[in-house]
Amino acid sequence: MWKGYAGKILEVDLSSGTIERVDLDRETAEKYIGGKGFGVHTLFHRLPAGTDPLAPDNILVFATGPLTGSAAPASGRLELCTKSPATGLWLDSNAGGSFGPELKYAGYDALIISGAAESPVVLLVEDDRVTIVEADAYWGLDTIATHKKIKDDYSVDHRVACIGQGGELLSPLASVQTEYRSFGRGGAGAVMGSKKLKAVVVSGSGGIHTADGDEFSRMVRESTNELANSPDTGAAKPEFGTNVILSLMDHTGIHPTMNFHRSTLDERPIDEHDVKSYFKRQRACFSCTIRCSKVARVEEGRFKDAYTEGPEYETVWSFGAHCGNTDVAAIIEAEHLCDAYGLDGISVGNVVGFLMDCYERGLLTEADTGGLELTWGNGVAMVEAVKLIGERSGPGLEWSKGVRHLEECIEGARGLGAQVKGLELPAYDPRASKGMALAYATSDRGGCHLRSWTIGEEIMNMANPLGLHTTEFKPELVKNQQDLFCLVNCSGLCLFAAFTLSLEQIGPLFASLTGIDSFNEAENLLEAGERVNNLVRLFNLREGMTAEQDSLPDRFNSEPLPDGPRQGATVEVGEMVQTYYKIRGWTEDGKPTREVLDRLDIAAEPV
Amino acid sequence: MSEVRVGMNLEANLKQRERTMFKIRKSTCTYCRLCMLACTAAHEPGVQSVKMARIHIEDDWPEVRGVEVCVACKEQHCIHTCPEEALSWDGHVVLDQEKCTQCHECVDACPFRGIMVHPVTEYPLVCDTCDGRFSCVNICPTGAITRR
Repeated sequence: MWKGYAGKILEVDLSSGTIERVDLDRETAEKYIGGKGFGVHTLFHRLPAGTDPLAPDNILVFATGPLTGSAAPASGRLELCTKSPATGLWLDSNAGGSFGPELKYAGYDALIISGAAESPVVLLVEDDRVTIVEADAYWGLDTIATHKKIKDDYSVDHRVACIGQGGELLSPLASVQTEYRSFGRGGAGAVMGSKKLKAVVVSGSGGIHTADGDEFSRMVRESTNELANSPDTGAAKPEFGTNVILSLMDHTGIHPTMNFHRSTLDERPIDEHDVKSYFKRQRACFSCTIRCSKVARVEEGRFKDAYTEGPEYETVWSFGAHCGNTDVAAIIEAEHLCDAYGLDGISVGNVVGFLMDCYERGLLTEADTGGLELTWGNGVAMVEAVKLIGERSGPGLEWSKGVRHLEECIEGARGLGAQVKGLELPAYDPRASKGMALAYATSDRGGCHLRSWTIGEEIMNMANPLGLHTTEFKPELVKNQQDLFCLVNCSGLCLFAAFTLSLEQIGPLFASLTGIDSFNEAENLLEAGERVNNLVRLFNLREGMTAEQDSLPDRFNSEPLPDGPRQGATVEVGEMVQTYYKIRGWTEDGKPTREVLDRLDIAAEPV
Repeated sequence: MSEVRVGMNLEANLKQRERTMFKIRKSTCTYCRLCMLACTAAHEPGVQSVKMARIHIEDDWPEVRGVEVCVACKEQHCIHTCPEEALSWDGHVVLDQEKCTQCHECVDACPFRGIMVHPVTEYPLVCDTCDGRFSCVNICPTGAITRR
C-alpha cells in the first residue's frame, strides 16, 4: 500500500468523456516526487512540441506533493502545470487553500485533463465517482459567484478550482482561482477556458497513510515549533502578511516604481503599516501556522466596501508604486477585481503601469483608452482599466494580451515593457538586485520571482550577506535556489515554510510519511529538484526556446536607475547567464548535455 | 428532535456554553484545520486526514461560521436520545460500539452539531479529549480553541 501518496492518478479526456484511474508508478514518485515533477513528467512525454496552448490537445495537470494533505506545516499546496498561452513555453503555477488536500482525500495524487468539451462543463470528483457535469448555469459568472453557487449546489466542504470571465474569454493573463487563492501566472485560466472547463469540484472522504506515524508526528512538531519561533514565519508574516518587506524593498532601492523608470516616489510610499490598517482578520491555507493571508476591507471613501483576501506584497506593488499610486483602497479594489474576473494581479498591474507610461509619453491618448485618463497615480482610472481587461471590452481586448503584445502594437512603445519570455516582471528591480536579474533571465516560465528569490541571501542573510550590487556568486545562488524551490514545488510544501526549515528537517518529513528512505538525504532531494528543472529545460528547448531568451529587456542595461539608494545601477546578464549554464553543465546555447541527463537519470535525448 | 440546530436558540446555547470544556474564539480561527488533522491523527493511528475528525470547522469566508465540537453540555441530549443506550458519560461521552447501530439519532440530537460521522464505519465520532491530551488545543496556532 502507498504511504504518503494516494497511489492513483485520475485522467480525464473532455473530448471523448473518458475517465481513467491509473496506478502511480513507484519509480516516477521516487525520481520526480510529485507536484511540478509529475507535471513535467506528464507534459514532456505526452504533449507534442508546437501544440497550440489553447487547442484541445494541450494538457492540464493538477498535481499534489507527497506532503499535501498531511499535518506537515504549510503543506497544502497544489501545482497546476500546462503549456502557457502567455509565453508559449512551460508553465507551472502553485496555490494553497484546500483544494490539493481534498484531491488527495478523494484518492488521487494528480488529475490530468486533456481534450475539450463542446459546451461548458464542471468536472466533479467525489472519491470514485467522477462525472462531467453540464455547467451552463455557471458560465459567465465571476469566480466569487461561481464558488458560491457551486457550494450552494453541492456543499460548503466541496472544494472548487474555477475560472472567471478572464479564462472564459481566453485572456493569457487569466488565472485559476481556488477560494481566494490563485494559480495566477502564465494564463492557465485560458487553458481551462479553451477546454470549456468552468471548474473542477472535488470532495473526498479518505485520508493518507503514514509509514512511520510516530517519527512523522515528531518531525511535524519540530518543524511547527521552528516556524513558530522564527521571526519571519512566527511574527512578521502573521502580522503583516507578505507586505512585511515593503519598507525594506523601498529603502534598498529594489521596489520598481512607475513602470521600472524610478525606484522612489515623490509622495511617501505605501509601507506595511499602511496596508495592515485595512486588515480585518487572518486566514490560513490548509495546515498552515504562518497565516500570511489577511482579509482587508475598505471602510470609507470612493472604494468603500471593497474587500479582498490580501492585498499581497506583489499586488500592492503592481497596482501601487508601479502605477505611481499610493491609495491602498484602490489597490484592494483592483486586486478584488483580478480575483473576481480570474486574472493574474502581477501581470494585470504590470500592464496598467505600462499603459500609464505610454499615456504619459503621449503614445496613447484618451481616444485609445476608452476615455480613461491613465496618468500616474490615477487609482480610479487604474480600476476601470482592470475592468476593461477583465471583460476584454473596448481597448481592454488588446490590453489583456499582455505587455509583450502591447510593445508591438503601440507605436513607439517598443522597449518600454518589463517582461521576460512574454511574462510580465514582478516587484523587484533587476538593476538593483543582480541576483534577481539572473533569476528573471533564467526562469523557466518567464519573468518570475519564485524560481529563485535571491534577495534573502543578498541582504536579509545578516550573517553573510552577498550584497545586491555584485554579480559574484549569483549564478551559484540562482542555480541552487532554483533546484531547492523546484523541489518545494514538487513536495506540497509552501515556499514560505521552506525559507525557514532546513532540508535536514524537510527530508525526514518526506521519508517518515512515505517510507521512501532516499528522501532522508538532502542531496537526493536537491538532485530531484535539479532533475525536474532539467526536464523542464528540455521541454522549453523543444518548444523552440533559445538561449537569447535567457535575457532581460535592453532597457535595464541602457537606462540607469535615476534615483534612490541604487542610483546609476544598470545590469547586463550575459556573463552571469554563461556562468550559470556552466554550473548547470549545459552548453553555451543553454542545452543540457548527455552527461547531465545521464547523471540525473533522465530518460530523454538531448534537444 | 432531529430539527434542533445550532443558532435556533442562540441565547440558550450561549448559556450552555458557559459550562463547557472548550473556549472558542471564532474570530481568531484562520481555517487552517490543524485541529481536525491533529484529531484524526490522535484517533486513527497512521492516518493523515480531516475526514475522521471529531471537531469540524465550518467555513463562511472570510469568517468561520462554526467550530463544531462536543462541548460537554449539561443536558447531554445525545446520551438521552440514543435508543440503544450506546452512549454514556465518563468525563466525556463514551460510545459502546457493540451497542451502536449507526442510526445517527445522537448526531441529529446535538444542538451544537458536535457529533460527526466516520466516513467509512459510520459510527458517531464524539470528542474524548484525547484522554485529556486535547490534541486540538495543543496544535491551534492562534489560540482559537483553548481549554476552559
